[in-house]
Amino acid sequence: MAHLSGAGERGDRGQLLMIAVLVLAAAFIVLALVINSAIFTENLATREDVAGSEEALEYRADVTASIDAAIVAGNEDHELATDAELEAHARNEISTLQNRGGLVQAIRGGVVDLSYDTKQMGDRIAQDNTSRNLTNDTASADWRPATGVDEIRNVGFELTEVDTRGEPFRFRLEGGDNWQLSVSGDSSEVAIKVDTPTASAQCVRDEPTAGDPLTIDVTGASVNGEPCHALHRLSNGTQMWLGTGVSGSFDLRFQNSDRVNGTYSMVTRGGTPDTGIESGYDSDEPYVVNALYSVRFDYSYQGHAVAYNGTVLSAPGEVPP
Amino acid sequence: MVDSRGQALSFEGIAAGIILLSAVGFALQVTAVTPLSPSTSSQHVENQIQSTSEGALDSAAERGVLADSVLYWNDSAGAFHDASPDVEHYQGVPSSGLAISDTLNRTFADRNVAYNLRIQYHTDEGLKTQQFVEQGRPSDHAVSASRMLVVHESDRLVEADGSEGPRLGDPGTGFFAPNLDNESLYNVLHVEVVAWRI
Repeated sequence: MAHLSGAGERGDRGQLLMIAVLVLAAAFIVLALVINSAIFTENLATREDVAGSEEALEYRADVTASIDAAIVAGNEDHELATDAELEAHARNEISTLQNRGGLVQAIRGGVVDLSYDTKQMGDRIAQDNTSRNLTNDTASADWRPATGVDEIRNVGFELTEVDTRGEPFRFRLEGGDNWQLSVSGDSSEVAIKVDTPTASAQCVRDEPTAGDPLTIDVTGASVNGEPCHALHRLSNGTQMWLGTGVSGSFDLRFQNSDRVNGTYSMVTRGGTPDTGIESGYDSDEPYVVNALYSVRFDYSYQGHAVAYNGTVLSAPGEVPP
Repeated sequence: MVDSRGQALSFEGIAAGIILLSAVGFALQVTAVTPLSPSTSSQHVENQIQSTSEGALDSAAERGVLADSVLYWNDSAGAFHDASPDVEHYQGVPSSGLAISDTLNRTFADRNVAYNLRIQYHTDEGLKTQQFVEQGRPSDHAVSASRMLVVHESDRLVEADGSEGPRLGDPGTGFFAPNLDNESLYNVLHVEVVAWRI
């Protein structure tokens, strides 16, 4: 009897097996779909926004960096004195990049077109004498390199000697609200302190020694090549960089500038330079020369998958607004 | 009655088998090669090395280290400072005085990635190549990244100890790339990294 009824049971189990197999098969297919969509999502998420745009943007960054270097080199070239000469220099560099860089880019499959658009002129105020203090020609320790300045960029100091006694050397932007950099210190260390209208912070470095000056790249936010948070942004996000909190046009001011020796350079737009400094290059004393503040150029890139057109502004060492 | 059910059961069994096998086969097909599968030929790894190379070049260029390295040239010997004997460039690990070697070693050496560095420059006859660092022959899945660098006549060569050397534009200063016929621009260099996994 048991064998006979067993035949009936075996029939039921066949059906059960069938259902189990179908469920398993369906589960596998669903799993496969889930894995597949996960892979596809990851693939999509890591793709460029626009396929092929990376080459165009990368080359744009390359070109901008090159033009930046060209502007810096042009401004520091004492033989380029007039606006026309500086503009010709910028045009020349852009056309050389167009020809030389374009050749290499063409080999890689992209056609690049660069053309000069417009410029903004400014002044470069600097001192190249490493052993002189930072006073003006008439030896005023408290003086204004320029007044009524609209914009400023590429500010850097290279101090060979810092006298830490008494009031510290200060570099100030004054326009209602003030931004201030001061260089003070004790016997072995120097503090670079920044005060904005709402915050203050400082970076501490070793005192400069012979052959090892203290290099403060104010707009690049570094001291001796190392990042300095007090010149950029604090960990809580507070902005500290040059001119933070100063609106409209402003005056530049050096205070206690007889306490430090070294060189400096800055490029300004608008404003009137101090009458107590040389007009035209001078290797001994502070001077002001014509300079390119910024250059705008048209950039177009035709790649295999993307065509990019745009106008690019090059103003090396400009801090965010 | 019993005969016909046996046939049906057989068919069911075969059909179930086919479904099961095809489901397993499909699942295996889908998952066998993912972008994350560990393999030296994986596209994902190549993309990563490519991005890393670009990042290393960009960061070096931004800090001025790239220019200092390219200008680390001994103009009297006509070779990079402390370059391997008989060749002008570095073979294997570059001299520690080279500004970019730190960046490259930190980026690549710990990750089993080898790299070659070469510099393309312009001449009147067209593009020429100067080997810079040579670590071997790139494998089939090597990637490359490059960066343009403009050098000016006012740029200075870098001495072996890192101090400033002669100006590029001064007559008598030797450099691998010639001075292009232009006012203050010296040459347009293209620094290329070729990196591959070892």
